[in-house]
Amino acid sequence: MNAPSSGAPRAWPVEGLTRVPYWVYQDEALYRREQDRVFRGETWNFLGLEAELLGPHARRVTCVGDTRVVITRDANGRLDALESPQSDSRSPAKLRVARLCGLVFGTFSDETPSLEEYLGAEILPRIERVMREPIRVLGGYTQSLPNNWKPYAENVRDTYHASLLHSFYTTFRISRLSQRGGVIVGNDGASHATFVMIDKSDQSDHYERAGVRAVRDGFSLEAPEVLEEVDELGDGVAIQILTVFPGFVLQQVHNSLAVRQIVPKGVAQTELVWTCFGFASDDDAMIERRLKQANLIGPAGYVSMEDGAATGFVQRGVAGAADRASVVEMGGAAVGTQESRLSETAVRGFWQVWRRLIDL
Amino acid sequence: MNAPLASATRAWPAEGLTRVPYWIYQDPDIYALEQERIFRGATWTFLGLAAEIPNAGDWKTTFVGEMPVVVARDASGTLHAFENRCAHRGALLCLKRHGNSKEIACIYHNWTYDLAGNLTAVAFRRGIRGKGGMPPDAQPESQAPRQLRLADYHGLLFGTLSERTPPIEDYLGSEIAVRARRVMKEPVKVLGSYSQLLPNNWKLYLDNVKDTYHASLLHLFFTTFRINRLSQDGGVIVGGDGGHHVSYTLRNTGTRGEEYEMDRMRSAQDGFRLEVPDVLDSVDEFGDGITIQILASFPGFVLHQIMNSLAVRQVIPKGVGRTELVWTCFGFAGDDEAMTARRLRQANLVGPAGFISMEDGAATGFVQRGVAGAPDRASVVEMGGRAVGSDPSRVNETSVRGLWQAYRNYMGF
Repeated sequence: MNAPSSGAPRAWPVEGLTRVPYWVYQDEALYRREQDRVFRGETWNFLGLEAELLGPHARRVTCVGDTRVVITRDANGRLDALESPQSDSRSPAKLRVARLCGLVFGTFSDETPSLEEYLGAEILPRIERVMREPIRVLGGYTQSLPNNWKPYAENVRDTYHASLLHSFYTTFRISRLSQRGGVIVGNDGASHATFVMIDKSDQSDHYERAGVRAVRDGFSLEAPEVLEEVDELGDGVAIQILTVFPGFVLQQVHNSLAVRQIVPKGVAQTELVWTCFGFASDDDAMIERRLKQANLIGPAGYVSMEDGAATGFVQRGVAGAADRASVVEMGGAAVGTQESRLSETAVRGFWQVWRRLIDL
Repeated sequence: MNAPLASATRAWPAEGLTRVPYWIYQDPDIYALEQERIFRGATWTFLGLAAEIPNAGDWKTTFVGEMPVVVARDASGTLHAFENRCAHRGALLCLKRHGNSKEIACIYHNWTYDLAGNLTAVAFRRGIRGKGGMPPDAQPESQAPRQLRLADYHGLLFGTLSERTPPIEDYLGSEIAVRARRVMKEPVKVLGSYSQLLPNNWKLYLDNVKDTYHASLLHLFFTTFRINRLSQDGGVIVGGDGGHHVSYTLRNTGTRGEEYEMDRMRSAQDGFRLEVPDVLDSVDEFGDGITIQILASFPGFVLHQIMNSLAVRQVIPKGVGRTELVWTCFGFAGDDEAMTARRLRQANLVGPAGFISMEDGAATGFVQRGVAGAPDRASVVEMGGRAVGSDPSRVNETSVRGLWQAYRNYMGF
């Protein structure tokens, strides 16, 4: 199924960022090039939460691409990250480490600009907004996705799909494209944040009129408190999804807060690691609320369960079509901040950065 | 096990068609090239029976090589085949094996298609309240699923992506075509199906099904109950470019046939009898005395008549060392209850656990395991000589040589 498709063209389509050729999800040699150019290249990779590295001599093992990395905290509280020792005699590479509001990132390259510069000025406050005080880890999940890592990277940047794929969002009017919101693209695509405002006034029927599958009539929740949110951040944002190229996601879905890490495990296999958190100052009611709302996310979440299925459908759908391409033209051809989420601008941003690194 | 091999070893043995090098079953680059030159090339891939999608709106999913495909019948009754892949991001359009709908909507972004595979609607293409959506000059249709040429040959559906593939009857050749029509003589009724996973390269199953020499040697049941022995009259017909064949056995016209016992064949076992002998009660429904006819067309189609068990088989590659074999058993719309019961009883002979067929999937798996580490060695395909052609004797590998003749033509080896 994932054999190299020799003979298929290995050029980017002339249309540019509005087309993505399917061989990029299927090619072994490209996968190895990504390890060098993307994960070990000029990128900031999420290594974990500081809350997972509490106390002197704390230690955590994670992955940057398919490279295993060990993060340690020394007696002075300093964090170091080293490539996990290899069987060959090569001395393990050391990563530059950057800490931001309790998030820990690492890069193998000396050329990578500072984390703040890499993220872009528009995205920084969107991180600070969520990571506003010391956090506490509530738990986590790991799920295996039957696809290349990039369909998931696209999925999470795709502000167009949420209300069309996710029945739960649309049916219970949690996220519709007719609700107020927007998409912000930072540093030419290296980061993005999308948000939906709490908007109880939207009773429009665009989805019903368009006959969208995701709208289901006659459903109601036995335990509606799963959706009872408090505007804890005080800005009326109900949902914010934020990504940092290549594999980091920070999520606020109502009061469910989590980080996600995308770890490639082969051309057609990806691990997605979710860590749910709250704040150290949360009272019992808030913890309870966050845990209830955690039902929305994760591998079997009422909302998120469909993402892993959809990205697997992409991997299966593109078999035998290495020389064909996807269409990424919602919202035009540009990469940039847009008021409408009926746009694939953040997906194009991902490919813009990826192509520069891969040199394609 | 399936690591790429140095290209230096990839030359066909000097002996020609009597040797098949084992790297052909093991090399991921060869597998990828087969997808392009054979399955997406100028061949007809069997897609299923028209009777599987009898009503307007019926569709089924299948594969041409590893490429997922939808076969559908539109409101006017016209049959279509197209890639099972959304124009937008490439997601599968149809997820189930069979379904019925007026149109097809992709689950990911609700892009919709008619039953010919034409993109008919892009969700929120013009935006909402004037914002977002696609530019007016966008052409998402340019990436719409490719539509296959479809041939309905007496209820057998074939598809091809290539414009160069000759019409189906020319492709099969008249001698094979007439044998297909012999079985597909009237409207068909589907009785059921099985799918089995073979732990081997797809070509090993083709080798097996085209190998008229093995049947009575491998299959205890055939030989012990004297259903098929090489001493019975029959023959093998090779047609088209060599890739298609028919082998057949005639009812009890042979000698008493002590050859197997004299040669002490493992498959001739004494002292066995059937508790329910009616599993072998057959009627000569075609009126020509042929009890078994196996027809296979390149690259992956089999039509079988084993007494009154009728079935089509689809050989679907699932990786270098893995193959799916889909069996669909059928009868005729005009069958009475006794005939349907007879066909269902005889279905015990075939399929993944069939009294006969069970050994085929085992044997082809044994070959995949046997050739590990021996890419530079070759099999011996010399029964009946070196030629490719029809022959009255089934103690013969002429149709296997035909397979490799066709294969080498398509692959350019």
